[in-house]
Amino acid sequence: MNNLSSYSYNSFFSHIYVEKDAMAHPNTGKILSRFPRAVCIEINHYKDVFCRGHQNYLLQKKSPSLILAVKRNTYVYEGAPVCQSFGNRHFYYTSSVMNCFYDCEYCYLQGMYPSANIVIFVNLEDIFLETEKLLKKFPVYLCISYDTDLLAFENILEYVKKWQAFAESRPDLTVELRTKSANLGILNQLTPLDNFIFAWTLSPDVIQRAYEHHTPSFEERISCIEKALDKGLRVRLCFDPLICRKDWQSLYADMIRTAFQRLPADKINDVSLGVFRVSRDYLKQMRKQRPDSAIIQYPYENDRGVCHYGRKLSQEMISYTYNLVKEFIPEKNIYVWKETS
Amino acid sequence: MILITTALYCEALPLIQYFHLKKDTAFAKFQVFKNEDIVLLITKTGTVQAAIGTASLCSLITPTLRDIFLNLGVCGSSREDDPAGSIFLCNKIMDLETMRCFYPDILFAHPFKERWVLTSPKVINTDGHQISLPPLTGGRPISPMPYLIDMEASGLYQAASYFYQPHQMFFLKVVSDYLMNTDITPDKITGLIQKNIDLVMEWISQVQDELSKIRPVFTMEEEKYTVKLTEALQLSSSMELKLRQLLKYSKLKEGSFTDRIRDFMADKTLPCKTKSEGKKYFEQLKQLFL
Ligand code: SF4
Repeated sequence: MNNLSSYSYNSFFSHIYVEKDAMAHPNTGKILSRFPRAVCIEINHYKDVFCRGHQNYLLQKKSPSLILAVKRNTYVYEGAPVCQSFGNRHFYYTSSVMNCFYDCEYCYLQGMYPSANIVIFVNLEDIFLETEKLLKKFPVYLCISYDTDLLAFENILEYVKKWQAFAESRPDLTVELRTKSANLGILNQLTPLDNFIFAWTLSPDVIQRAYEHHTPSFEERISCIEKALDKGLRVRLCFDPLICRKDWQSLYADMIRTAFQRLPADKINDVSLGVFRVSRDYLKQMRKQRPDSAIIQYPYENDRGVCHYGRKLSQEMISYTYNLVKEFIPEKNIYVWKETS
Repeated sequence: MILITTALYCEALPLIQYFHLKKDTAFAKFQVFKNEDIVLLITKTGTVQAAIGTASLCSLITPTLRDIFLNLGVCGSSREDDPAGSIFLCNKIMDLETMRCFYPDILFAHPFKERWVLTSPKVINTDGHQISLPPLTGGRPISPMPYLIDMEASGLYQAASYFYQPHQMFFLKVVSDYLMNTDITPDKITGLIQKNIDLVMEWISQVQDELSKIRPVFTMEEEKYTVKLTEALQLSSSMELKLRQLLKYSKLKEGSFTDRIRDFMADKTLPCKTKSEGKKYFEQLKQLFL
C-alpha cells in the first residue's frame, strides 16, 4: 500500500487508460506488458480523458498516465509556419504519440494540449498507409517526433525501429526524428539510413538543469551523438530554442564550442538555429498552466500572433550563434528560423 | 478547505463526530455542518439532489486550487467476496442513465484499492453480477470487471467539475451490500464509514498538505504595489496587463519587487499627468526589470 508520507504522487504511468477499440491491437498488449502493476481503465474514446475540462498540466506532469488509443481520420499533417522546413517543399508531420515523457518548461505542448497525459496511438500501420499515399504523389519530408520525443519512448514502443524499417525501402521519404534522448542501448538497435535524420536538440547545461526536467544532461546527449555518428547515423544538431538569460552569449558560446570539440563537424549533416518562439494562443495557455515558470512568464513580444524576444534581441541571438556555428559547419548547412518567414 | 459530501445523515454522522462539526443553519435547503477547514454537505440520495447541493454550495464558497472535494459514502459491489466495509477509490464513474463516463485524476499515491463505479438513478437489486444496459448500447452487458454501484457519483462529478480540477475530486466508496435486497440499517452504515474514517482522513490531510503548496505568484503586498503603480502611471488596461507580466517575470527571476517599485516611485513625480508620461516610465521599468 502506498503511503503519502514517503511520497505524494503516483509513479509515472501508474494508470493506463485503454480505448475499447484499441484493446485487441497487438501494440496495446505489448505496451501493457511493460507495466504489469499499472491500473488499467477502459474508456470509449481517448478524448473522454484527454480533453476533460480544467486539467492541471503541471500536476499531471508529476504523475502522467498513458492513454492507448486508435488514431482516426487524419494521420499526417502539413507542417506549421513556426516549424523549420529545411527547404523541403512537401513538409509534413505526424503524431503517433501526443505529449512527452520529458518536461521542458518552454514546451509548446502545454499550450497545445489540455492534458499532460500521454496518448499513444497503437495503429501505427494506418499512419504508414497514409504516408504511402502521399509518397505516390510526391517525395515527402516527414517529422515523426514533433509532439513528443519518440526516441525517449523507444523502450516501450519500438516505433523508431518500425519507422526505420518503413523508410528503408522508400527513398522518396525523408524522416526527421527530433530528440533529447540519450539512450545508448537503443542506438545499437538502429540502422544508418540516408533518408533518416536524427535531430538532437542541445542546450547549455544550465538551461537543461533549470528548464528541461527529466531530460538527459548535455554531456549525456553529446556522448550519445558521438556514438550515433560512429555508427553512421545521419545527425542534425538543433540549437533551438535559444533561451535568453543575462549570460546567454557566454552560455551558448561555451556550449557550441564544446559540442564541436567533441563531435566531428564534417560528419554532422546540418545545424538548425532558432530562438524561443510560440504562438500567442499557446503562450496564453502555457502561462495559465505554469504560473511559476520564469521562462514562460517572460514578457515576450507579440509579433503577428507569434511571441518571441523581439526582433532586435532575436536577431542578435541568431547572428551571434550563427557566427559561432559557421566556424565549424558550412553556411549552406545552417538553417535558421526567421520570424518573418 | 475540504468539502465532503455524503448522501445520508447516517454516513455523515462519523464525520460530524470526528471533526466536531457544527450545523450551519444558513443553508436552508440542505443540511450543512462545518468547522474552520471542513464543510460537510448532506445531499440526500440521487444524482440531481447531489448535483444541486454541490453546485449551490460551491457557488457560495468558491473553491480554490488548494481545496479538495471528497465524496464518502456506501455503495453496492458486484463482487460478493468484497467484505462489507471494504473501501475503494473510484477511478471511473459511469452514469447508467446517460452512459457517460467521468474520470477523476488519480495523481496522488493512496492506500486504497481502485474500482469504477456505476451511478444508477434507482436502487438496483440483481441476482447476478451483470446489469443489462439500456437499448442505447445494444443491451451489451457491462464489462465483467468488478464494479461498484451508487446513486450520486455522476451527479456530484458533473457539478463539482465546474469548480474543481479533476485531481481535486475524490470518490471513496465503502461496500455495504451486493446488489441484492439487504437488511442494511442506518446504524450499520454509520459503522461501516466509522471503520474507515481514520485511514481516509489521514490520507486526505496529506493530499491537502500537498495542494496547499500551490500559491499565487504575487503576495498581498505585491498585489497592492502593482495596483498602486498602475494607478500612478495611469496605465490603460492593456498596459496594466503588460506591467503585471513584467512584474510576474521579475518576481520569479529575482524575488519580491516591492522595494524596487518603492524606490522607482520615490524617484518620480507621481501620479503621471499624461498617458505618454506613464508609457515613458513603463519603458524605464522594463529596462530595470528585464
Ligand atoms: S523534449 Fe521536446 S516535446 Fe518533450 S517536453 Fe521537451 S520540448 Fe516538449
